[in-house]
Amino acid sequence: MKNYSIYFITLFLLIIIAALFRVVILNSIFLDYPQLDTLTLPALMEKEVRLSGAVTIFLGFGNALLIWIVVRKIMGNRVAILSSLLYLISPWTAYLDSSGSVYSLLIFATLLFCLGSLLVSTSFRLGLFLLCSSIFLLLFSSIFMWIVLPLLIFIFLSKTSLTPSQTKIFLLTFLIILSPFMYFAINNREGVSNIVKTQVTIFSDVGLLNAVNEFQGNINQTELASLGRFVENRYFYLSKHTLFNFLKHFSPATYFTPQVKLLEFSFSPPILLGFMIPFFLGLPLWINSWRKYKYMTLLPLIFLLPSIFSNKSPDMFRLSLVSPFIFITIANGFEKSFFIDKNKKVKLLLLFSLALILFQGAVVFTDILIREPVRLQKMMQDVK
Amino acid sequence: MLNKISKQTFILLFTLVLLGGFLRYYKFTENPVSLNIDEVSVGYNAYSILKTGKDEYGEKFPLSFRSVGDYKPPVSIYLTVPSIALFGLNEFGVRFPAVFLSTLSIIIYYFFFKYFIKDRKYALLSTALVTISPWYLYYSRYATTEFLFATLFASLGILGLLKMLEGKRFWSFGAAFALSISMYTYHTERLFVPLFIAAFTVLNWREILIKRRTFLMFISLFVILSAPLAYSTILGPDRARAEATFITKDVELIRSVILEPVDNNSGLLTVLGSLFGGDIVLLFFYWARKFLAYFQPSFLFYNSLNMTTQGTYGLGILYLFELPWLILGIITLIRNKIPNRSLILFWIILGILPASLTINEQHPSRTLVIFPMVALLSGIGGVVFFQQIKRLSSAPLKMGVYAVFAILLAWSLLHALMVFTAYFPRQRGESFMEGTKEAVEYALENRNQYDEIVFDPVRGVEGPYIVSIPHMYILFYSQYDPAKYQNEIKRGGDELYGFDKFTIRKINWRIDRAKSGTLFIGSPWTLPLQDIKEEDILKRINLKNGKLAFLIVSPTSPD
Repeated sequence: MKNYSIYFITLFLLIIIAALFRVVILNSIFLDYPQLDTLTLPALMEKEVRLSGAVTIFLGFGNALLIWIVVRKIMGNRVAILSSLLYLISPWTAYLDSSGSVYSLLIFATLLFCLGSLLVSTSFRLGLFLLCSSIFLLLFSSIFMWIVLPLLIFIFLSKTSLTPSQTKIFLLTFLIILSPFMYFAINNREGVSNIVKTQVTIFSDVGLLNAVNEFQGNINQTELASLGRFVENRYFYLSKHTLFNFLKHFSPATYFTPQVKLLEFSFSPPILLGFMIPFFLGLPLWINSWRKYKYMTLLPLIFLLPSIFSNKSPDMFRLSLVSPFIFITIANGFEKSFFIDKNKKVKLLLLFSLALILFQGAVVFTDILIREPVRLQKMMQDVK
Repeated sequence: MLNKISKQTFILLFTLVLLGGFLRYYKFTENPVSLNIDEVSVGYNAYSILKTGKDEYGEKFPLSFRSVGDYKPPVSIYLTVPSIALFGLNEFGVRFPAVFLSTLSIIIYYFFFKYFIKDRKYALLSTALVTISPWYLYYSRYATTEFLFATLFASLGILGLLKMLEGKRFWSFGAAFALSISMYTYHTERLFVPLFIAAFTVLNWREILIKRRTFLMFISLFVILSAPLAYSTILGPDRARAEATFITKDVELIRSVILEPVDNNSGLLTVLGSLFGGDIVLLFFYWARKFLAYFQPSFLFYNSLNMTTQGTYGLGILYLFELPWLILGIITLIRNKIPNRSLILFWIILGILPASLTINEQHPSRTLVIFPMVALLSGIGGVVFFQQIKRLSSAPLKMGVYAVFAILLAWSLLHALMVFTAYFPRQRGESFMEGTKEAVEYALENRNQYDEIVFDPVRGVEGPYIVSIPHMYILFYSQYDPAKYQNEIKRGGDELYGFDKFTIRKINWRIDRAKSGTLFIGSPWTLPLQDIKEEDILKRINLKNGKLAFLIVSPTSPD
């Protein structure tokens, strides 16, 4: 009981900090600009669904709580608390929650899926309930999950030890959830295909085909014309483009600096720069834990897909589905290196990163109060 | 050194040099399609030094060439002088030093890698990558000797430092000399070299303490040799260049990050703003973004060399087939006790630092100093890659991996071939001032028929966005007597520059159309085709892609 009270006090404190952070963002940036709803944000975020900021802020707290529960089950309490804290203080998720993005809900659903898959082998009914709830939320919130879900379920079934009867029950329930959706999709084929086209935008950039045509035009003027038709065709070029989009997601600048601006105006980094050091310490641990955490190590790769298939890749909103796994990696790296590893150099490095985190935290907080509203105003003028 | 290598290594090296030589020499005067601004400037200044011992402004043996206001480092210009003396003031004479040095450097880098990493296989594969690297090849085929020379001198200097630690006192002189020369050769090294020496000292302080006399000798000589440069950079003309390209002048930083001064109207905001909201604080995090941007795939594998139109996939500093090699190289560096691995890490970090402190995003020439380490990492990864495949027990899997890699390798190399031979000459001709030579040659051939020749410095197919220096092309292709040019009185004024019969200024066709006896050279933006009589158009100069670059016009009689 004593242990639990410590957990609750810690979590309560975390929620206070996070609430303060989000209120500052809302108050300083978004509330002063009522036209934002109609003018800018719908164009920057998923067009179909936009939730109220209040709902997503509460969903954000739910996400932090779910991260704590999930991570506690696999990596212990220290890593769990650190992961939740990271979720709560990260500008990435704070902006996501404050701006009413549907991705706060999707993160919630993916975490539910993780929790359900962890529980399903020990408590089948509860696990199944959580899995089905998450599948329901995912299916009916984003078109992209139609692509992601089959992969998720395939990996879940292949890596989780369910009995044949449990597998049957799971698949049957899945089909029941899927059926209204299938009915809708069959009766609105054109609508569905339009939605897919607006979501899977990776190849919709006309510039790609223009580039191939220009290349081929250039080669045709040389003696390499016949070779050029084989080497420089649209299939190779689009494969290269897809690989490029994929690789972009492995660049540290994407996550630890404002290389891709949050909401296209912000100078706040998605994750504070100082966390890069524990991230790189935790990355090998995450990769090496392949057998221990089974398919959990594969999930981030699947959740990259929505961002990869965006023409604005990396799309920081779609990419936010991966954010819990990055927070877990950072927390794990930090915990293992600080509390377990005896290497003094690593500890010094972590102390340096802590100092940097505290400093940048103050800088970001100040920047949100002082400069971010001006940046948003400027961006809105440019959009006009 | 040569008698220590095996016959097999010798044959391999010889083959690599032959291949590297071919890739560098083949049509190097025609591709890149034209001499760019820097090349003509380097060429004419070298010619001027050869003939008069002074630069174009009449300064005797300068330590920094004012050139077009960019204050060029001196070494590459002085090293171009023998080539100009031998081959004349032409494309061959200007580009030959880069091509020659780059070919020679293949052998030098082999011995450097061999000593640095103490492994023949790693060294050989890394040298093979030096031979075919798109990054190195690109800068080898035109007169950008400063990047190549500076990187090579820096590498030799670092080799000298390592040899010095072995107790070979002579190498302290060699290291000091090579490192100082590298700083005189290119701007990046002016920051990289002192920082690298500091890092080297910290990493090897125990050995340095034992050989403190030798190290003191090195430091003393280095300081003496670098003192004039330090003076020039801190207090002299180079300061202007450093200030103009420093990150604080970055447009994105000023417009989107720092913004205009913001009123902090409440007490708390004032305190927070003064503590954590200052420009310098934001500058630091902006710099961090620029620094990390050098690890992005766009820079590493896609279009950082700018050999194709912006937004298309041309060539990055590495081939796409090197992706698995680079990853394995990094993993091997972290996991295994590879010799000098801390130095490799510091070399890369400190090599990127100067470039990240300047205004441009991802600058491949400013980061060329890390090229040897990138090639080495990729080479290490390549060896490990083949070792891992060999260890695979399943024959079909082994064949499958080989097949996939072979396709990737072939595709990468063929794509590079297309970029170098087909896309680059057609898509980037303008940035190499294509067409200027033909325009100048026409003007020179017909100069006696006109009272004045007016050349518009602004050009561009998409719009009048490219500012050129036609006077330098005129000086270069006319082999204008440097002594005469230094001493004659030039015409100057508001956006006007003139000497002899030549005037460099913006053409205003409404007014200029009345000036018969004058030859006008300009782009269709200032010489609008619809306003010019067909008989007045003497020549049309097209780019290799068929687009009109210049019109040469002389009004016969007013309308």
